[in-house]
Amino acid sequence: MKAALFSPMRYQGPSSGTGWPIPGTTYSVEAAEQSMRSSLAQFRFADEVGFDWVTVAEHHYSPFSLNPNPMLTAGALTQIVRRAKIALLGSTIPILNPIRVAEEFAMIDTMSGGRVIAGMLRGTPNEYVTYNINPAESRERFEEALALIVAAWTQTEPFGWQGRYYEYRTISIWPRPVQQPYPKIYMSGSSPESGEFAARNRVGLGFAFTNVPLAQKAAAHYRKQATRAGWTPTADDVIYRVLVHVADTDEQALDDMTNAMKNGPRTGLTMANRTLEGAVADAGYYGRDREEQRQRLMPRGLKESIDVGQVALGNPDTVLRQVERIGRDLGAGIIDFTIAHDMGDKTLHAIELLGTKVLPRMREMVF
Amino acid sequence: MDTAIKRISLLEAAGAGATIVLLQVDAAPSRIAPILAQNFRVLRYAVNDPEAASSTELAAALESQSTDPVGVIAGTAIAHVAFALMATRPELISALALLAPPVPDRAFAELKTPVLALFGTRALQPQIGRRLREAIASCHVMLVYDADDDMANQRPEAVAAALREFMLAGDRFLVTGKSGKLYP
Repeated sequence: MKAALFSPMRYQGPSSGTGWPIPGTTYSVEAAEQSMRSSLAQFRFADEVGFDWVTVAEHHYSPFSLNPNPMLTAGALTQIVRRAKIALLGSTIPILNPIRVAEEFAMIDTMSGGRVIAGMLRGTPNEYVTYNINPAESRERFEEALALIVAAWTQTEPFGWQGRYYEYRTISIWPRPVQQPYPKIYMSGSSPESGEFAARNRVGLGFAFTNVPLAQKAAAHYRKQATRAGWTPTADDVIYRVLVHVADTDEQALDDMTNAMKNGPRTGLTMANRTLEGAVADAGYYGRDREEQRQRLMPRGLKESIDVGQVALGNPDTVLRQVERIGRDLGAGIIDFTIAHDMGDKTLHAIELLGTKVLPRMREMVF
Repeated sequence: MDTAIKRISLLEAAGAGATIVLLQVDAAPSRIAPILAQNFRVLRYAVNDPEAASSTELAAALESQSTDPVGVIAGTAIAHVAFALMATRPELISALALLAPPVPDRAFAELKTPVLALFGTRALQPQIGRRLREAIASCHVMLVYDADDDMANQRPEAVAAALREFMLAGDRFLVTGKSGKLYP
């Protein structure tokens, strides 16, 4: 197994409101600068202690994440992360200009010497409000955007594109990806439709904002569809994102997390605005197992979150057991550890424990 | 009906404006012709025996309909006739659009006629753009998403839109004239 470190780059200063979007009334420039510096330092440290990947992701209009454009963050990471791969999990491609996405991925791949991982996501439902894109068209836009991005990476002659949602008269990107024919692509795969599309297009699958029982079902569906499409995904084709905190003892880890949840910023994304989420759901965003998809986004208590594999918490041995269960249940080859609460030195210590006590034993696990 | 020309026969004339000649291998209805006829005079010809058809016959058909150069649209099976005409009588063609053409067996250097080649993404041959441009350096390549060689039937609105802009503007079709303004 491989390990990634994901930070949403959460804003650590004061903020007002708990919905989405969050007003900037109490926004602190100093707190934002410090939050970004802290996240970049964690990524640098994760690289130093042996993480295989560092991960960034796109989110808008909320202190939950100061990363509306992960490409910019990834650009900065190319200069401070020397060894680990830089994963964007991902760009929310249905709301973006696909050619710009293709160009930016190629830039980061070039700046990093071929270390970019290209996550292409549909994003959380609220993101469709961000740039005023109709969520009913999300899946079709995603599929066309992905085809266009791959064409931009692989076609060596200028070409135009006559799509349903995108139209360009001539495309010829510079720079081009270092990794040939193009960087490894992952997409989110919680819904059956996504798993089927990923299988047909031979791309990897990532699970986030879900739980192990649901991801297990979705991963099995993906593998079945891949077999039908004539190929067999490896463990490296499946990523699972889990919120993590590691301390020297289980008690310390629980105490740290409980305090962080009590005192830290309490903001979310999708379910922070139920009216908006309901409107997006009614637009057909989720697909054919809509209610199951909505349930996976519902907030849970800490104990239940641990039980269903949304949170890995404890001393290194405890976390290793939790990770082993996730890997075994899903056949996942990459665990994307999420820092949900920046606890300063405690977070750095957690990264160190993961790097020195958990990762070496994870690497021996094969599913 | 044009009975004077044996292998290339006129099926239909529709619309008004600059002339576009649409060449097809049979008499089946075209889904792009009615759309193009909103802006052009569209002459739809059947090429009944594509292998045997010659550029001389095509030239005669074009000259019988217009004294000015015309836009020509041809599919895969007829592309070789269009290529031959472009080599022998380029003054008859104002712009040439090809749907999923093969790579021509001759090179067109110093070509002044604008050329557009459309390919469906579902049937895209590796490096087709590079190979085509080795023969026609000035050729524009356009990919039609979610279609194969039968793109004119599968995505007629998209194909006709690209053809319309190309036939109106030639090489300048790269510059869009569409307004991005939402409200005055």
